[in-house]
Amino acid sequence: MGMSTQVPDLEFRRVIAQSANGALLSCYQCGTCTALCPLNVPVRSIIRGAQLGIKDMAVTDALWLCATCRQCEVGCPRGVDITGVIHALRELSYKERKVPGKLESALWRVYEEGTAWEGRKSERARWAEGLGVKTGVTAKHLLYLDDAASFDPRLQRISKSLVKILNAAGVDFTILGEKEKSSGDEVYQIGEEGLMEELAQSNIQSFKSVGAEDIITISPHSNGVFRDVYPKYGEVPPVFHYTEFLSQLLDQGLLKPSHTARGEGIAVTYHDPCYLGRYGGIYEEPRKLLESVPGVKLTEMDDNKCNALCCGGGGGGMFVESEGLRPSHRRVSQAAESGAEVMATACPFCVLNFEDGVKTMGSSVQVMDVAEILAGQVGNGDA
Amino acid sequence: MGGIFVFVEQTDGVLEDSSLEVLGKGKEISHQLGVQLVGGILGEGVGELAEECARRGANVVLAADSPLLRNFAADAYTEVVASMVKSCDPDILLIGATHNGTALAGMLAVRLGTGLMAHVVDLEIEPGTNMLLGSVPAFGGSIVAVCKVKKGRPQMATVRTGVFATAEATGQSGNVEQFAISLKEEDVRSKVVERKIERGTSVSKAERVVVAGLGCKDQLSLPMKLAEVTHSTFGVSRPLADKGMAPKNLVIGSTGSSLNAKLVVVVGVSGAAHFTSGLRNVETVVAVNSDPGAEIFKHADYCVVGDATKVVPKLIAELGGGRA
Amino acid sequence: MKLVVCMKITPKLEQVKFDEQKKTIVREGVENEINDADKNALEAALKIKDAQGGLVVVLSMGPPSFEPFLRLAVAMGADDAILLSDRAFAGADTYATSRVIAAGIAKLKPFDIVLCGEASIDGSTEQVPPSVAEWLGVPYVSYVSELEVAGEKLRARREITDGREVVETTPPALVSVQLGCNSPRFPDFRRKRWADKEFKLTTFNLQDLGFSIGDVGLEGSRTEVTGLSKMRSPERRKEFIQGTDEEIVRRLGQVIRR
Repeated sequence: MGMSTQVPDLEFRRVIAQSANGALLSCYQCGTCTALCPLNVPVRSIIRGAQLGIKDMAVTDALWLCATCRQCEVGCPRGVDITGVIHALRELSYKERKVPGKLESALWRVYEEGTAWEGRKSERARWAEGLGVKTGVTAKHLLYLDDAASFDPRLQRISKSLVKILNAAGVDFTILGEKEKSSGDEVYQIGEEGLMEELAQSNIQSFKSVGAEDIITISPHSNGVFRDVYPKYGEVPPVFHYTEFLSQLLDQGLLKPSHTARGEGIAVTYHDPCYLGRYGGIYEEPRKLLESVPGVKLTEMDDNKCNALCCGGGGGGMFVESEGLRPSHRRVSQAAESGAEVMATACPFCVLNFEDGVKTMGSSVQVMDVAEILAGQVGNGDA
Repeated sequence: MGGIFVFVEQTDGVLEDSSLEVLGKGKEISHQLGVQLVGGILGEGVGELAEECARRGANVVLAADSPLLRNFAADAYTEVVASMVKSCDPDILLIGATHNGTALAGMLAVRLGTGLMAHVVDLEIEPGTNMLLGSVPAFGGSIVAVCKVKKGRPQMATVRTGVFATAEATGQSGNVEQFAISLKEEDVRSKVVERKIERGTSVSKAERVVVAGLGCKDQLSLPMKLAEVTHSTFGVSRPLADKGMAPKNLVIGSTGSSLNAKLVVVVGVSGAAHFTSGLRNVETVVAVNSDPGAEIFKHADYCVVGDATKVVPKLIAELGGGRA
Repeated sequence: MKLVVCMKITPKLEQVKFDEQKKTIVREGVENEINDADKNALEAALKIKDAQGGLVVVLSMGPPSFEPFLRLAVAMGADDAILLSDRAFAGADTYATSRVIAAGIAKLKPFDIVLCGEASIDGSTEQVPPSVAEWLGVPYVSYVSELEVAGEKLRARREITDGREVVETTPPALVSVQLGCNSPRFPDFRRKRWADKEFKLTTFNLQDLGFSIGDVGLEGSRTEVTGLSKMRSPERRKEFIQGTDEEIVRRLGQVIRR
């Protein structure tokens, strides 16, 4: 074993230090981040590479395994903006074309079809056919689906459930229909700035065109990019995740969840999606909504709220293959251990990843979105 | 001189199914028109194969035998087939639409200055004119254009695999003639330096097929096991091959094979036109898809709305295959 | 090293409708896109340029409305773009199309490699690349998944119906590139701004290519369409099997065992 001499790339170090806004200075390499990471990303060593200017240590394939879940940040004793560093490194990696192929094809799809998810522009609003939903017209609220909930057959059930709930509560809302474009979360995660700018500007125009007071989202990932990225490009109306919005309706007595399909009670546990919990600070509202459904007995899993175990879907994770046991598999076991029959969550990516986990673990836990439970689907078996 | 000329492709001493199908259709047309059927075969040591073609309906088989023709090379094959065509002046020239066949056809059509109908799914003779009519799928296969050659001879067509029945031995045998070539080494401008052939069961000939699509996610072991317990051949929709998850010779649809099975179980395929056009000759189609509005259900006899990765294991168990 | 990439701009298929009454294809309002396989062809060319330098030129036959797509190809990294455009080119079959394209490429001589996507998504005939090769008198290798310049030679890995091969040939040569064999790079938006506003696109018309009307387009085609119809599908039962998982699977088992 020989000793190799590495010469720091000072320009690389300068670029990252600048984009990461001082984050590199705070890290004292304790390794808590790596210990906490559910995706086995070597966080400490990546930051070390950036601190020293050793490019090979920092710009690696492992960068793309990060689901930007921020579990590391929760444990970091110095408050380092770790996801900021990861993002800066990804931007650089992307400029050098070191990006997973599937993510690159997602960029093309966003550009040509307005969706990162597989699907065609003209078919985006198919899920809403026959539901009599206002499309592209002025309304008080804009219901924004984003890609996954528009195109994925499993997730379209969530969209339909939410429409049912909003209609029953007499909410005046519109959708953008075929004109809706991807929020650009994946575009941001990859670091493609040019497309991000164009997309954000186009979406901001669309929001203006329906003159809505605010935007209701289904995916917390939409919230993330509208809140943290879009303001750079223009003014965005207030954005609420649907659990926040419905929670307000509940307080006003406008929401009347139906009975559970089964006569006796059903044990439900709630998983806090990273982008709703750690990013958005929303923990209580979804629980409140679940408890309002007659017959639902809420249980809590280990590692909940700000310590919730990431499903692996964020940060472009839905497009990246991961090897071995995913964290979503472990999470499904935790759900069963908490005594729950139903695992509730409020993010489309979580739903898909946990259903995958249930299949792999051979579990009998049923995965449902909060909206589906509110719409009276719980206890129905395959809803 | 007239007549039908069929290019018969062989790879490493095995006749391509596609060519045998075209030979069969060529025979049918030659009877209809009362003309000769000539087969052309190129390669090295193709004597036996030429005899085979003669037994399966060709009145004459022109065999060009040379080490230079051992492997397919578009330019060399175009040169030789063009000479064959010149020598017997056929009215119609048919080629099976394999990858090599389409390469040959494209060059030949320009060499001969004639019209070419590509990837036809049907061939007919126009009453009155006796011209060849080819049904060409377009726009992903949802639309069919009936075409004919308006200028040039012979009228050319490439034929999709699996559309016609294989030529059977007729009991009689035509004549095999050695076709002399004047090809030189430098005329063969592309050389095969490595090759690996993986021949499996032909999907287009199979009685039972299980087809997997994107809806199986990456759990192809499930539909493959289903194929095993139902004694079916395994096939895939195009996107799976494009992603490198299955070899191209298993592709069903407009860019692959047409199926002629009694029973086909389609799992996790949305049913775009380019795929469903491969199901036209299937007796019974069973489809499983998680999207109740999936196009595939319009082309199926028995429809199940459900997640392929959930339904298939249960089906395997039901059929006595144990846990998948 | 000069690499010419042939690019077809195709309609988005799911937007194309067939008028059953008039038996015509309705093209109004249909959006276009770069044919996917041609993106793979361009990426293959750009990879070679990255590895050893060279010039990449994209070429397309079509109306002026195709220009933005050629500029997009420039944004991806192509150095130059040529549009072969003339009313007379319209209505062409693969014979007439390949003839015009070959003439366009000939104006770019000397070239080393011509790359085409294996087939277009709308016609899917796969005939234009070999026909262009014949018009140009160059060797043709199809379904190439990987292309490498090895000294004086070209090494191509190709997929054939029953397996795969490595083929060697000498430039100038034409190859068709397999759909999905690489990941086409996303355009550089800064370069795209330049490509959209400042880049000078070259157009060749009928005269520029030295043709007369009868050589090209509908007139110069060797085949004609005598009729269009919707693809016949056999009548299917379309019976939805309902019930519990057990009931569904039992019924499926019955159908399969028959």
